[in-house]
Amino acid sequence: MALAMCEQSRTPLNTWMPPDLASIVQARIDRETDGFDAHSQTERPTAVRVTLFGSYIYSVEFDCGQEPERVYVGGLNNSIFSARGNGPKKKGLLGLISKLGYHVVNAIGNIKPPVDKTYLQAVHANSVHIGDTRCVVPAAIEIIRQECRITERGYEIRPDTNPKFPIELEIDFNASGMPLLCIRRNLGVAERQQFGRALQLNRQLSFGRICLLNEGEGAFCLLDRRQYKHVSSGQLAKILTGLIAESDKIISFQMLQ
Amino acid sequence: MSVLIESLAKQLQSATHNLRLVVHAGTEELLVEVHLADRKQSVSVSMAGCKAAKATTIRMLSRCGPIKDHRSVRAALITNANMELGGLCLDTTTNPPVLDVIYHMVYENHQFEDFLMSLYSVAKYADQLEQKLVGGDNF
Repeated sequence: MALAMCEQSRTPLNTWMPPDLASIVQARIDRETDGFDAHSQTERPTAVRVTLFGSYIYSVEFDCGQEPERVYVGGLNNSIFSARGNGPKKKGLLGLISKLGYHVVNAIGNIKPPVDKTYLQAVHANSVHIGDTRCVVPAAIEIIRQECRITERGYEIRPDTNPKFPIELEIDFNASGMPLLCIRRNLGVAERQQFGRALQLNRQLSFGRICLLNEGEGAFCLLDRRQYKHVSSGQLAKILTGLIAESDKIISFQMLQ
Repeated sequence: MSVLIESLAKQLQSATHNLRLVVHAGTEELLVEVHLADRKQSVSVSMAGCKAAKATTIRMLSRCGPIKDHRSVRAALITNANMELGGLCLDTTTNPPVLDVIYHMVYENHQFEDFLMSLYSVAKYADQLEQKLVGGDNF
């Protein structure tokens, strides 16, 4: 997506040299040589060499969901620079979409490591969610052989054993902008007298933990979060299998009702 | 000592000269003392099995402190919705019941960097909660 935008913008933003380049360079030399006299008894600079690196910068604008985003591509190493410094700072759903866009552009725009064409093709074929830059989830789904569809926020699995309780997979982000794989399954209405039992059950689960969403109002939910970069498709297949089986047991036996 | 626990112990012990960890190896469990600034936190590392997934998991458990009342139980369940790695669980074998931080990762093809990062996360979170619950540094 962003790569297509790059191809359209063939002309860099600026092709001019600043008219007062000489004075800018002189000011820099003066700053760097300030204090040389302090060591004149032991050393004396005899010359100063100035090297000016030429470079380029492109502005890349793209839509991520409904949110327009902009990043800059350029520099000596073809780096991606966010217009917002270290990354988008908005909170909530818009923040998630912005962060997703930043994460995706970094994945496909950074030449170290090389662009993953498999991922780009899968996005075009609508077989992978745009946030799943390593195509981990479809490969895991293929192993466990469950019905899965791509949603706006990630994926939805409807387990054969209990399709009325689907599982949602999303790419979320922590405070440092690190992508997290988030797996969530609703377990039913949260009864106050079962809170202790729910917390106790967490000790027996293989993956995930039971929690209360929406500040304690509503439903129990089984939630698993882990760092996206460390999860392989084989591991995710095992996590999903275990999570589905154990949450099926909680739902079917009404262990929290 | 089980082979898998022994393997983890060896990896940790070879890494400890660069990290602030003290590893005490038991037969089926490791007790890793993680040094965090001016405090420390112990994390129990053991192997567990997930029958449904036919997987071996690395189980990390760290004690926070006793739970005060039912409101604390509700607060712990709400906290679980926001925690990055792992979650809070209740140990009712003690009197009073205590809160632990627990996290599992798949053992097969795991990355040591991931294990180490998870260990630190579990220790850090449990220690923060211990400070809130009891103030001291018992665990």
